[in-house]
Amino acid sequence: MIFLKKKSILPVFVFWYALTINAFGQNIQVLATVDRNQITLEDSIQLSITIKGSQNTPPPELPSLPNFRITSRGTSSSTQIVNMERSISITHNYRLTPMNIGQFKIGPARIRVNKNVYLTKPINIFVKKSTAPIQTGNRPVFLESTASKKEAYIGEQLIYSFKLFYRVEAKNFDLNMPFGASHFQKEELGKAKSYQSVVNGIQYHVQEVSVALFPIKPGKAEIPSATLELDIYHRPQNRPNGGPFSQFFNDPFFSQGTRAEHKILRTKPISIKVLPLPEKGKPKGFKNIIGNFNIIANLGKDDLEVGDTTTLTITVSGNGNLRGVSFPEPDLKKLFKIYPDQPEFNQAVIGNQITGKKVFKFALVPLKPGAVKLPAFTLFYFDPIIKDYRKAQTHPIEVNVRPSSSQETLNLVQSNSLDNIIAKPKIETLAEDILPLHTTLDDFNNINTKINTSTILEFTFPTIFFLICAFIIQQKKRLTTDTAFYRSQKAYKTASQKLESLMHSKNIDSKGFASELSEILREYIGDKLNMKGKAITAVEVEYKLKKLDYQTNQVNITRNLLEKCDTLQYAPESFENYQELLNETQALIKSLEKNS
Amino acid sequence: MNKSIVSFFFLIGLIYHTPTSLAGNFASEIATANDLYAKSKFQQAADSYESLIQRGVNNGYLYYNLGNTYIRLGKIGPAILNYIHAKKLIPRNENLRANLNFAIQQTQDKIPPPAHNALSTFFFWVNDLNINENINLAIVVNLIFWVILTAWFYFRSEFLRLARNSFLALLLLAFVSIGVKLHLESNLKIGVVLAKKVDVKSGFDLSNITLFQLHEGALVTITDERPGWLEVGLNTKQKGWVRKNIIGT
Repeated sequence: MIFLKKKSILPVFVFWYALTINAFGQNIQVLATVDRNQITLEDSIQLSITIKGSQNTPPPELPSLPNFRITSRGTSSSTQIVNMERSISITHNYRLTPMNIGQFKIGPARIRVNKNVYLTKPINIFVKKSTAPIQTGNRPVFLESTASKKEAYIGEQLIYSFKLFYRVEAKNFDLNMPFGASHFQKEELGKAKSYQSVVNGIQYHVQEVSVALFPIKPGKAEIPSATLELDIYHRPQNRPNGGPFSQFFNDPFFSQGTRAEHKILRTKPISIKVLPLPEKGKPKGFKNIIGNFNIIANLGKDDLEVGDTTTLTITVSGNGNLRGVSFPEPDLKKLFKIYPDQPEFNQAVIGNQITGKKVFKFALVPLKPGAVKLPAFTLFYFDPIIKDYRKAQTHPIEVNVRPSSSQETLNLVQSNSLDNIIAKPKIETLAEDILPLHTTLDDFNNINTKINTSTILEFTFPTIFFLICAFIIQQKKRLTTDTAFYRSQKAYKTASQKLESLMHSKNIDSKGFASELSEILREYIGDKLNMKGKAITAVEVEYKLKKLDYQTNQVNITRNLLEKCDTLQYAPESFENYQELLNETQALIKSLEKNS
Repeated sequence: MNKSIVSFFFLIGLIYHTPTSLAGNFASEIATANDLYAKSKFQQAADSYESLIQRGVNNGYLYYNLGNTYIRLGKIGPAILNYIHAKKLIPRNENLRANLNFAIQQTQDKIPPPAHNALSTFFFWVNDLNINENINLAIVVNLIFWVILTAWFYFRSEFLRLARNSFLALLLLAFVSIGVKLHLESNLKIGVVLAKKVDVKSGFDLSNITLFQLHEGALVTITDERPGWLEVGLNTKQKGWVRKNIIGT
């Protein structure tokens, strides 16, 4: 059964293997194509980079294209099997939006596959101005941007409007509406408006977006051009109209003949002359408040006892940006204990004008009885309509403070702590902005997540280092404490040295040679077996070696060699070939050492 | 012997030398983009930074600069998205933190980044280190631990025993930290609303009712995904589905 299963799996495996081999064996080919190479500033190009022969490649490294904005449009992969030949490819798609007119070259894109680098061929692109007439009439879609004023004071409200006119079906809007953040502050003016308008006798749908801009520095300021990307759908003109399902089937999804076109429309930049506020007549205490405002003061109770609480409310309202309006605590510290509240700020858009209201509240607790006149609150502002500074002021409020009816002595005194004596200066925040760019180029390294073979090596290397060191340390320690181990470790070295010495010794007779050789061999075996080597007999050696599982062949050779040495000692004339015996002993010791 | 020692240290050098692709190739392009920004040509600067990112350059400061450029262009959504990308790579950068807060204050919804959960609160240091720094920390602690263990094996002193135990605890903590970081990065997906206004639906179909609305730059936690749709949440109660193409991740 298992065999059958294996048999059925085998062809599948072979098939897969053949395909894989084919796939891996394919040459890598890279190809860069564009859908067209002559466009206008209103169009975009589809750049496709196809990698044939592999689907597991990193994304292509595109060349520097400062004259285009690059948007990734995803990837598509393809696998084809024709006559057992498998071909695979992956295509990376990009949308290139031209930023300038002229002739440009899309340089070679780099693709890295298995440490090889492949380059695509360069492509020439010609970008020209829009071929459509400048006049708005008769165009299916166009933009218009306007500013309410070409000349404004710092802080004065401008209305910047962007209008899209279209008379064909348009979808997938992507509006980029920069406002010149270094020259203006922006306030939203609510939702986009949608209405119909007739231009040169042609009816258009209009989408209008407006924002309020407040110039922040004098000089020539520019509102950059706004860009709108959209898809417009061109329908065939002869399509039958009417019928209950016409609306449903007119959807681009069902319209076979409908042609979608991606367009990029731009408005012209708008120059604004920003005037500084006049120095002449600038009142002391003016805080760059521009617009037209009213100020009202109300007191909760104007007749109260010492220790009671009342609320002083200052309301500033009008047209213009009220965010910067603030009031210090009224100078009533000897007469009242003052608790300032957080100001409430509300802003609304009426027509195309920002109207705001800011409410300041102070809780007042009288400390002394008597009639008190609360000082007036003054707001200086610049009115751009009359081009002069104006003053809004509250009326003074009179308060009657009666002695406390309670018998309990009130202990309401102003805090006189060190903090109050050395009051920290209050630094008013005039504006907030982002912190600057990071410009240290050395910090711009390409960072990849560090989980790879090198990381594993970095983790495992110290472990290997420890194991090696631990083994060496363990061996050294054992040599100093374990005599048997020490003798066993040193046996081969000692025997080798003695054999070497014997080899070079002169004037030695066969008896002496045999005696020396026999002693070397017995001492080696004695060291290895932790026994007294000199006294050991050939029979004992045979017994011990057999017990320690040495090979029979080694045991026999050892016994024969020892017996031969013994014979040579007692019958010296029977043997003269020392060298052969010496080599035999050396070979035997080597063999025993390997086995130990 | 000397040769083998030299080879040994050469091997160590090879193992611990982390090759980094230096800014050399991109330095001129980054400098050009920074110049464009300085000249208030923000759209061109943004295009240059985007081009580098499209070409595979992954760097926290690059995302930070792109975020600043989008702020100047008035595009709060892409700005916050790039700051969030930068935060993964340079989490301790003070300027980045300040600019992200500034950008969030410019949004209509003013939603702060998702609060730390119990795991990231307990492993608080993980939030201040990127994944590579977590790994490098573990590598260093691992190396010190094994060196101390080797020394202790030879000398067996009380000081080395204490050091060995301390570094073993640190090593385990470093490994757990890597696990926590990987877990947080793969499970806590933050998205940024890129459209001016988004209707958050009760299901992944336009016919479902609108539960609430979000505006450009709102930070959301992505909790589920269906073809073309993402489930996003502000907290455990406010959850819903939005079209995938208007959420930047």
